[in-house]
Amino acid sequence: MAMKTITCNIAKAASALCLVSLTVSVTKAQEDRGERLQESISASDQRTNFSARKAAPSKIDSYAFQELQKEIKKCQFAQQNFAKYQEKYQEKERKGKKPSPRDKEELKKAGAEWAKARAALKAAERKANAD
Amino acid sequence: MVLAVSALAIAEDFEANCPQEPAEDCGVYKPYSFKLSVSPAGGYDSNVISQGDGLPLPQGVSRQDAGFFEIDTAATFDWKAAAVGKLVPDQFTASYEYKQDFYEGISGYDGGEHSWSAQYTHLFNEQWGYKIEAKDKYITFDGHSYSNRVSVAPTLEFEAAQYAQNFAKELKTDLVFSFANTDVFFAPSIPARNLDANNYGLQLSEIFIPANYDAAKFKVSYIHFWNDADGSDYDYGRNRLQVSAETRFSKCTTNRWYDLKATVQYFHDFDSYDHDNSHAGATGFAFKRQDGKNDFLTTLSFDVSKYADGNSKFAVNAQYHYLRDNSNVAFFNYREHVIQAGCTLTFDEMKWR
Repeated sequence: MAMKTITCNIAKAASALCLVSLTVSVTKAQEDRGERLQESISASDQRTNFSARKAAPSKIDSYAFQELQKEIKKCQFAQQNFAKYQEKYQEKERKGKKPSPRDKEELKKAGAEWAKARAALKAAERKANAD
Repeated sequence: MVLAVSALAIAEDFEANCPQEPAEDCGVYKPYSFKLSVSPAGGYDSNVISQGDGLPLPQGVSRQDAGFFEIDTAATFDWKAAAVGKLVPDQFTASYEYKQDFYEGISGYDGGEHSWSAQYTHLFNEQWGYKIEAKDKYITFDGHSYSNRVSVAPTLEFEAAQYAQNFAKELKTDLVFSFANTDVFFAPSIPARNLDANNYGLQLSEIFIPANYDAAKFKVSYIHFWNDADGSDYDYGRNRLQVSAETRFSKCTTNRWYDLKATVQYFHDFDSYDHDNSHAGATGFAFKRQDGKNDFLTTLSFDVSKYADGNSKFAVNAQYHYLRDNSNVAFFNYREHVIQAGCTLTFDEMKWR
């Protein structure tokens, strides 16, 4: 009788353990997904999104953009300088005077400075817009 | 006369190793731009489900690795204020991005990500400035809502290059404070595993561009996060050390090597959790979780075709990502390799010039 009672209790305990294990197993299966998805989001966050990078605009606080602004100013100054010498040169031509060699030299030099400034501006623009 | 003088000047300035392409004029810039990019990519992920080392697969999942296809699109609107002297003091950028992954042979893990962001930048002068970025990220899996994360991050910037001109073209310090609120829509199995959280972050970064090679950039960061979750499993403090470098392979913008860009990034996380973890031990809650995470990412991108102002038109990309989470809790102790390759098509017809 005592043996039967012990066997019965063991069977009850085993059943209860099975039930707990099953419950834990089902619970784990349910919770796994939400937590695994969170891990995969965290991992994915670290990867580079190339679309976002390529669609990003130039940034005003970047070195390249600030260099571009400097080159714009230099270019505008060189352009104004060239226009000034060009006006002087053409004014003489309009009045029927022959521009002096110095006028030609000044205009040539100003043109060279302007072209150089435009080339530097183009390079700076490309750097500022590169992602 | 003008043309003749210009052509002569250009000829004189051409360098044999870096041919110049002078701009037509000195630039009349419109204050806005609108750009669109589309990036299809394919790849392989060795551990899509972040499966712990040596653990059996979860019910209903037949494998942990898979090939995948990804489509990533982004649209960005940008406005810049008129220059005051050599400084453009204000910028506002708004963007939307949508990324969708499709995994081969694994269901329930096809993640979709919608991101909206707005960023305002103000520069006081050439040294000091600040940024404020607000962002919302909404995540779905197999089309079902999973989570929403709202964040805001103000940044204080200090540029010290003028004090280090002999070795740096940029030497910037960023101090960032971030706050994020995450709402996870999946019901947790037990309260301890509730992922809803407030996250506070403090980041200090140093950005360096060398004086003799401005096509390269280096960044070192220290970040501290506090995660205050509804579930006790996810209350933690994180210390992150991060280094990254990027470079182009030429300084000359007309050289094709300039169009090739490589990046590398590595960080290590020291995670310390506040409470005994529900996965710890045979019956759970046996000890606190502690993680040490190593994350390495490298990318290579080549601009096959570009707009005249330097914006990319068509690029090919590749990246490799390795993640190793060394956790004292078996469930979170996993590694993952991701390799992917693709291309990016960028539409930049609404130029700001």
